[in-house]
Amino acid sequence: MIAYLTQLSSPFSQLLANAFRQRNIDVVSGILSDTDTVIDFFVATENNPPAGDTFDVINGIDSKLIMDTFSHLVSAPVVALNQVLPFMGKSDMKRICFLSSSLASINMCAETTGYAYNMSKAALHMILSVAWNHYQPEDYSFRLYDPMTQGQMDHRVTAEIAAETFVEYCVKERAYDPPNMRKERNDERLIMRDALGREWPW
Amino acid sequence: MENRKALVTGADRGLGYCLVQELLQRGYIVYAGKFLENYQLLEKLNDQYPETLHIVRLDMESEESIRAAYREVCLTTDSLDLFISDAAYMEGPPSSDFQGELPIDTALMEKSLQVNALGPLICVNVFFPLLERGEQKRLCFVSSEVSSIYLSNRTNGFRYLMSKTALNMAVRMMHNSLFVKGYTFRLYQPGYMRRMQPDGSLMSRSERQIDPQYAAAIAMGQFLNDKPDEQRLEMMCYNGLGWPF
Repeated sequence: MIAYLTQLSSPFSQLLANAFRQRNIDVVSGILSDTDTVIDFFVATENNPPAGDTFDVINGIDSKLIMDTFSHLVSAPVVALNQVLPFMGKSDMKRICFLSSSLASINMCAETTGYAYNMSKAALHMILSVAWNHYQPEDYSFRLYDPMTQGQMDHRVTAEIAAETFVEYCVKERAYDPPNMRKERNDERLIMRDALGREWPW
Repeated sequence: MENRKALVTGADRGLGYCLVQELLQRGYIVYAGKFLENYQLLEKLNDQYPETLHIVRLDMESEESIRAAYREVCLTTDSLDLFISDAAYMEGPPSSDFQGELPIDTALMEKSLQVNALGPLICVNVFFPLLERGEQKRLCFVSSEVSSIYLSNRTNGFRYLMSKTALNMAVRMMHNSLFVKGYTFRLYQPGYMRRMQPDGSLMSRSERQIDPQYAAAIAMGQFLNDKPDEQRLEMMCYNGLGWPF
């Protein structure tokens, strides 16, 4: 099997790559030129909050930072997904995986700073919802994951554990759910889970 | 009693224009954001309300335009009671479809975010000194039925949708900062409206569409009346139902 990572330059993406390889899953990145390549996992690794995302609505908005962050966290991985999708159609796995954060839960957000990251990830959640509506009927599955390496929660985990648990979450099938609970089956709706296994509301 | 003062963005046509009408009828002094040159409805309304309607050039894509509008508004008032964010960008080619005929246009995605989510946030920040001196301290944002991730059922065309979801997050964070300072918030989902033409007539593409005058009248009730649970941020539909994020 092959996992496509949107970038391999960051330390965290290298941890992810290692975790995939330990499961005998090859890792590729960059432009795919061989049209026979079959990608099983698409993994968007962009998740770091930008430096300087500490302003609030009273004291000033850094609009350039917000737009740059959106470009990095949303536009780039969404374009990458669109480019990789044609390589996923023949896979038996067809799994689309994104990192995100509970900070981007509109229901639960208690922050007064972090507009660039939180707005970008909230927008990304909607785009993934549209992608889910489009591709879930074609047997694609989705993993949206908060590695809990940053943010408001007390229970932060190390990058190594976060990478390991994210890849575990990407590769495993979900537990069987009775058919009469169809809407509660994890793969029949888009959800965001964190490193402790908790589901976060939108 | 002195007239209350409101700023309305995206007032050229449709819901924004009808909200301006409603506010003028209620005795507000209204600063109406104008962007579309081919719409002259505000100018006609100005003949009817020459003392209380101020038309202000306002491009929500441009921070400089927002700052220029602030300077212009400051020439005639030192306070604002009510802010209504209605401006929205939802045009453009179908370039936000997965595997669509057109490649995904990131520039248009970013324009959408800028106008629909970042612009309102910058507006609140820039006009904050005037809002601080207002008595009503009410901030109203027009969102959309398609901004709900929970209820999302579209399979393509995510540009406008994601920008309104980002707006909802921005409003949540503003609420976190400003409710404790006495501000109250409205996040309004006006439904699928008929488009207002330059002559004021309405164009209809579906029987589902509602008239902007109707949506504005409903909105006024939600925007101006106090609620018993002001601490709670909720997206409200025109039909009075709460809308999940």
